[in-house]
Amino acid sequence: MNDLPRDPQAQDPLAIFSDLPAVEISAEEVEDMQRQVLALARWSDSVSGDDDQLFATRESRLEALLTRGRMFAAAAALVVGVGASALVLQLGSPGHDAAAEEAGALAQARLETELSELLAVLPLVEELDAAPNRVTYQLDEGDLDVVMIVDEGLDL
Amino acid sequence: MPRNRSHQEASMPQGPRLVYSRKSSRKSSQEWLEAEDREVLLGIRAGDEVALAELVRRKTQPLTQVAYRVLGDLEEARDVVQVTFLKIWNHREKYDLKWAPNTWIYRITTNLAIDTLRSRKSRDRVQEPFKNHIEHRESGKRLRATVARVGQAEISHIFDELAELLTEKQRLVFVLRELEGLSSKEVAKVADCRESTVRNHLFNARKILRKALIERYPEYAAVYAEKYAEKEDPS
Repeated sequence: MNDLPRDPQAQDPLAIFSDLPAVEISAEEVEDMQRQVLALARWSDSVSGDDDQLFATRESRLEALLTRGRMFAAAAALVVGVGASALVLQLGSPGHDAAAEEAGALAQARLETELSELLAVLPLVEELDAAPNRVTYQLDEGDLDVVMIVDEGLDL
Repeated sequence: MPRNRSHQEASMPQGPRLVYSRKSSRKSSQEWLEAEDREVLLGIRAGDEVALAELVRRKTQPLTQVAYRVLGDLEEARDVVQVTFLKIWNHREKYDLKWAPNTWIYRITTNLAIDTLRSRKSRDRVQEPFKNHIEHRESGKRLRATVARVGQAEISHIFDELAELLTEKQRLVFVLRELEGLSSKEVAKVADCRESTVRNHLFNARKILRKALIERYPEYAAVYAEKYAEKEDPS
């Protein structure tokens, strides 16, 4: 097994990568992507609309933010509630074992980076308040706060 | 080694067959299924959401694959693809007919993937200086222990590990040229460099990968060299 080919040019070991598997994307995932992209596109267009579109704008903002919840969920963050004026994200998973704690720490780091990227994509915002376990963002029109809470076990 | 993937623009006419404007009647989802990529982008440029949905339908899989090859993380790849579509929508009026559709779209995706790669590296440097190294070593041990099973999943792991040794441009060029089968000319446009630079990056990438593969996974290298030789010489 350990014998190397005599002529590495003729028998290229990089041929191994010809067997790299294709990325499999299901029809459901494509539909999910369509839904999310269209929600973001509508939101993106709606922010430049006039004031009578405020309600629609706000709804589409929420929709866009929630669809992006997939990103946060992947980072072990959990969207736990949407208030009248706030989107609340809770990090970590239920329970207090070491794995959950580590997941929470990783999620916090990733979320901070990705939230800033999200906010760059959705030009919301100014950071109002940053504390160790809580960051509050306010939308540009002041009608919706995005609150990130790192504490566990909050009663929402 | 390059996969035989045909690119639509290769057989595409130089000019648009259909000039789409806001005043023209909108196509249905079914009609967009038949449209060429360039027509779909023109539909998007005219603000047609159905055209955007069609682009998402046909490009999610290939773009996710490219982003995944560059990033080695499927979830990040999905995010990159999502932002790609959003950028296409937000900058739809900038789409220029002189761009081959795939070249323009791939360029957005690969730029975002490289930005993500840089962002991740920066984050890792600050937060987890040793974590990746430990995972890397453990992953290598596991792979060597299962070398008898030369499966696709292992090959993916090997590629992810070895690709870390490449610079961003080397990795990008290797993925687009060797794995996605783009021509050197197309890769040069996507990577925004000259063809001669593409060839240099490719040469260096192959050299680095070949050396690392033989050093770290001699079993795989030998197995695949034999397999490759059999394909070349069936006798």
